[in-house]
Amino acid sequence: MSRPPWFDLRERGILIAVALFWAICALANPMFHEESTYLSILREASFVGVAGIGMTFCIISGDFDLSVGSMLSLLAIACVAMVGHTGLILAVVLVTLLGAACGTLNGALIAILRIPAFIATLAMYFIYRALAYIVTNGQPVQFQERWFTAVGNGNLAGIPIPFVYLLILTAAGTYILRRTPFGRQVLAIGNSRRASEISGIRIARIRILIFAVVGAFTGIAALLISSRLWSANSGMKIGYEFDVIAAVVLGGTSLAGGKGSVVNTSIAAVFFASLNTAMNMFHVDSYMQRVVIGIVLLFAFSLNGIRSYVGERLRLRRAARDLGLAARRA
Amino acid sequence: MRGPARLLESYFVYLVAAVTLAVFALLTPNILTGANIINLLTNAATVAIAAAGMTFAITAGGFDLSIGSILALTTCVLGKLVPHLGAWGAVAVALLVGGVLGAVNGLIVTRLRIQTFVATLSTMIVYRGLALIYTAGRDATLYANLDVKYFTAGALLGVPFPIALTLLVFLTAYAVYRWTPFGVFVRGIGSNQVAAQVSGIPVDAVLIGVFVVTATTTVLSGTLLTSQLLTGNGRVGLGFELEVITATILGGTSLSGGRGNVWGTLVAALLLTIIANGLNLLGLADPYQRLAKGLIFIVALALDSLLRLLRERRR
Repeated sequence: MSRPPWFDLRERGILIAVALFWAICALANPMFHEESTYLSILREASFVGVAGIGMTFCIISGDFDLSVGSMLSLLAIACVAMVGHTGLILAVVLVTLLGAACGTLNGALIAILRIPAFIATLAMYFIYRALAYIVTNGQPVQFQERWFTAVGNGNLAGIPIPFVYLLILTAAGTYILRRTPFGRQVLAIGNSRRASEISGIRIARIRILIFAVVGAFTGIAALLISSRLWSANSGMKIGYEFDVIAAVVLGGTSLAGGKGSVVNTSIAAVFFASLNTAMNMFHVDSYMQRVVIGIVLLFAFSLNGIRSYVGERLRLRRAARDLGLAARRA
Repeated sequence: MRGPARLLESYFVYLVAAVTLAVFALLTPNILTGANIINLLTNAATVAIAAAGMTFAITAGGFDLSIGSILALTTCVLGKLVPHLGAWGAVAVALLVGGVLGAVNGLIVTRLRIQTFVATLSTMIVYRGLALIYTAGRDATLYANLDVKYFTAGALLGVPFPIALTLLVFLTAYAVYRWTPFGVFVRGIGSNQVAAQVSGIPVDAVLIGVFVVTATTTVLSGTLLTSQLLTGNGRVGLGFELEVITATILGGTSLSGGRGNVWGTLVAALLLTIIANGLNLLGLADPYQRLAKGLIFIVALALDSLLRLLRERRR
């Protein structure tokens, strides 16, 4: 009998981490008694979490996308440029499609030209940013429509609108991952590419689709962030891809592929947002913040290694004990 | 067995470099003037020297993405310490710091068992953070003690110092790669890590050594760079790792590990410089140059995977 995963706390270590972190901060700093602090954490978390949902699919399948930060800059510029002409709904659709198109390009490089994913996307990281610079001539772009700022800055029934987006998209992402053939194929590819190929999954197509999904979610993140900032420019959000990947990995998605959870990614994004807020409140030097984040990242990356090492040890010990028992019985 | 395909594979980059040089020479005659050639070689040195180290990392089947940050940290260390320790003393300290950071990379990879790519991705953030903390985010400009100028303007046995250093590094790299146990082990690990482990190669120690090599060669590159800029800054060298990896792969070192090409790396670094220099002489603006570099990188990678496919087909 397996419990539904949402209630299984063994699968939700990150949730406990967030709760503990908040408890410690609340003890140390009265700012963490305010409701507004938590609402602002949730808002900031959403900007990373939304792109994290797409990245979760990518990392589950055993790949990476390092180009999301640059892609985000390019898409945010497109979004700001068109939102006045198109209105909100069409802007959401178009920026998502545009993101999916960028992602498809990444996917084609990887699945058709067979360039290892992280290097191909490292190259695209530079290309998208150069394109963003070229289309804007290095100048920031702004929109004139005040209503559009509500998407990133407004509240719906007291909840930050970006967080509403995050909740809906997390539910959608979980559904796609667990209940659709595409989601199962993503998991299968991550588990064993050879086995999936032999069992008839069209790897190249699924991989291209995965990168398109990453692009689509990055598009929505670009919409939220450009609205939040009232503008976009070619130098925005440098290092964004690390925040996104860090959230996915801290959420327990295995770098080896095959395992992962969209819900945990979103919670991990909340964790990082809390960490950033806390470091600001405790006046940690902004350069020191990078070092802290890098170390948390290293810790997150080694988590899976540690977990499998401990698991292996336990299994070996159990096997040895069983062998011993069998030998004694014989 | 050296079939024509194999020959093409080994000497491909020389061919491309020659053709590119010829094309640019037709477009802008200035590229082949004596002064510009010295200029070309000097500019190529920074990427080339770090790429010599990267050749070992990629041959061993790994990566080092943290070198851009190590480059930045080197300029900061030199910018801060040259006034106190003199040029050579500061370089010695920088080499020591680089060696330690490289060893840290190696220890993370071997002890925590993280893929080289992600491990160095994390240390890339940390090291740059260290560089920025060390200089408090400001420029460490060298006003006094300009001995460091020797590293660009000086000469060793009549050869401009950067060119001499590049040659020295590559001769050493080739000798180490070809004739020392370390070189053999690196190739062995890159071909098949499990087999290497089983046959008694000290895999962990060799991998740590590889990261020390990439870090220290990067410190040498950083020394040349500081000597040109006469300032240290934590923001230097963003994307440096990409340029260096491009040079290494373009030079014929295979991403699948086990096959390096030291001289190819040198020629590829030159090729990249020729392209950048040519685009400059043609008057292309900086963002277009970055775009061009990204595209060249993609082409290099596509070629690498094409050659790999051909190789598999032949088996």
